[in-house]
Amino acid sequence: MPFSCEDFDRLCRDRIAPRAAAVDAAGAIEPATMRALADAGYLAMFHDGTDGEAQGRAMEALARACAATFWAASISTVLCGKMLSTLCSEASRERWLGPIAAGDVVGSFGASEDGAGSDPGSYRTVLYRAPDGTLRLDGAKSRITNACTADVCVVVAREGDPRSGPLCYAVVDLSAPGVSRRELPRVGLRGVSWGVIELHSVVVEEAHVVRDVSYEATLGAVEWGQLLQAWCGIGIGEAALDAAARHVRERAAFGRPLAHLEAVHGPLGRMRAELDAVRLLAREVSRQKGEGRLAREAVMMAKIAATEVGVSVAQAAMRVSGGWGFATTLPFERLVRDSLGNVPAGLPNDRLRELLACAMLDASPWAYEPLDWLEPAGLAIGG
Amino acid sequence: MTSDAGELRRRARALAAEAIAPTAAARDREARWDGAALRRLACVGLLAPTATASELAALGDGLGEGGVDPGLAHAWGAHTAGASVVVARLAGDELRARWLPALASGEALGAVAHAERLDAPSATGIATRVRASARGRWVLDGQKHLVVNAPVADVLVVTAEDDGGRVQAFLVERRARGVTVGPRLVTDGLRTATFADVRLDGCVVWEEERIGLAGEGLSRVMRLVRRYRRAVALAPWVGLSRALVEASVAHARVGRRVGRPLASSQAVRARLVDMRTRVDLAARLVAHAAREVDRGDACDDRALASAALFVSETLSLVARAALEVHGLDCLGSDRPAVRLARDATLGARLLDEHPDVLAAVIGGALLGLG
Repeated sequence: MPFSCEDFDRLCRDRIAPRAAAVDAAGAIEPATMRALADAGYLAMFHDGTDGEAQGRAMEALARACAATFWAASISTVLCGKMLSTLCSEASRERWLGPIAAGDVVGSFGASEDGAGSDPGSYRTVLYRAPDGTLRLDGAKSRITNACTADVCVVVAREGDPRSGPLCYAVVDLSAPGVSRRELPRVGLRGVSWGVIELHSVVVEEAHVVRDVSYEATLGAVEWGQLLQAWCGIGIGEAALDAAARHVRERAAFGRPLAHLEAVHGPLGRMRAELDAVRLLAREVSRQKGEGRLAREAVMMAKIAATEVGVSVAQAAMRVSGGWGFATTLPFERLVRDSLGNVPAGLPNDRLRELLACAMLDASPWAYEPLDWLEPAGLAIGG
Repeated sequence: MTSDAGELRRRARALAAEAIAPTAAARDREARWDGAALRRLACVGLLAPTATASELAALGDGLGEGGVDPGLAHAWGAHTAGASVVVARLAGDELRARWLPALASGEALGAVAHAERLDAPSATGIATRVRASARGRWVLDGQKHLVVNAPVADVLVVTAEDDGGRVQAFLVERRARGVTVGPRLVTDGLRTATFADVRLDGCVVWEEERIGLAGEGLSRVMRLVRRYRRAVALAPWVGLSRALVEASVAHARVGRRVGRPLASSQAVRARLVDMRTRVDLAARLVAHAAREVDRGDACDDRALASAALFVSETLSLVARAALEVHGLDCLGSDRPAVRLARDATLGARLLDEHPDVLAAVIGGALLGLG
């Protein structure tokens, strides 16, 4: 059955959104919700030829309903799913992609480590040949979405030498011996699992290891992560704007609703304009990704702009709602907390700015220049 | 005319770079209007009033980016996206036959005379009056404020309120009896454009010079003008902002701060990216607004207001950021960046309501007020 945007909007609005606060409080998503997403076709739509615009619309609807549910489902099917479909072996795709799209298993992507975030040069998880001839993984991946709920993880590792070995992808069955996991405490997105996956001599089959992946292929997959973060920012922003509009219509002060104050109109108007702007860019990126193209600078700009608009709109919505905006009985504080997670996710926005700027300036994003401005500025102590 | 927006933009940019940009700095210093430069724009369709809003927006974007002349771009907006479009879409056959070819070629220049400086509040926003004369003609009396192109225009779209409180619109020849264009206003910005107040004293106009039906001055004529201002006349400002970003990038490549290349500063890099991102978003909003205008009565005016607000604030942000990047090199120079930054905020204020008003209107509409 073709994906129905209208039916999906209804599912998000009527079933998922009303449960968002409970998901946040419980720190968990109901299995029935993930099953409903699978039945609605959300998990499969990124792998069955559905056009990019519909994908984008669905991502926004789900993020607007519940950012945590959006993250859990989308990291699994979009990021992990695209890694499997575009980078990994046929064996990995056959084993994992169908079940992910069907909602039978949950996927994750393991790149960052405790000591390594934006800098892949610092990854230390290692894939090595054990004396018994098996391939094994040692290391730990940190700040991983779905860490404790996933069945499979596409792990980035160095082969051979943990400091200098070439990078490769290993598709890891997380039920294998040697895998241990734990949650990490965080500010927001509390309903989704986010934590550490430790790998102690975990066996990986040769058929599930991919080497010599091109930069373009990697980019093609990683861009999906940036796109979903952009849509999450937009969805949270829309939820915040909607909640603020509702609150100011209902809440009265000085004998009339807050909605009559110019000081309320202006911020709401700016929220509307900013969300309209970033949505157009995200839609264009969704179209490009849906066609199988690289989005390059467009998706980086979308990720930066949309995630930061999500934060600013959520904060502005809290502000126009006065003291009640601060209360946990209204959604604003959850939306603010959740919005913050999108900014550092994937590549942090300021790192993306560096990459974009270096392309504009023909500069190297990898060169490091030590800060030495104190003496020329006359600020050196004793100078 | 091809509907490929990218190609239209490139074409306009190339022509403007050749025909407008080389003399922009000198004309700005001399506060000189160059009608011939505007007429040259006709050859790529920049003056075509029958083009779609999407096509004009793409062309306007290229004009701004290539010409690097905010004043001329502003004049273009008032002519093409103001007077010409009104004549093309709302005037009667006789008026269209008389003026459209000349407006499209640039042989005749148009202006829109609507805004006024009011001493007392008015429901319609104007105090200029029109009354029917004994012989079926109309007589206009009033004063219009800060009319762009007025000193050099051939025709003006003039709005006036009749005895029934309805706003009418007329196409008035600048040289008609009873029309007095005041002295060209001296401005610190947009110096290559011309502005003046226009007074109407017993100015007689004929029935066939009325645009639209009775009472459509605001609801149809000015609504069209406002739509085209937000979707088309704003487009050159997007292009100008893009030119400002490029100028800032170029400066960052060669400039130095505290003895080090500007380009190596992460603060400067981040600023350049934010400028570029902001301009990209603004361009998409304007293109979207133009597509909405092309939908005719189904046009979503809220989308146009969003575009106007976002572009207006983008101009200020990008201008300020460009000055930060250029630093002391802004002083006493003919750098395009300095000129553009000076004109950016002024241009946005002239095209539409103040951003605070736009934001409040959008917010109020969102809440179902008004």
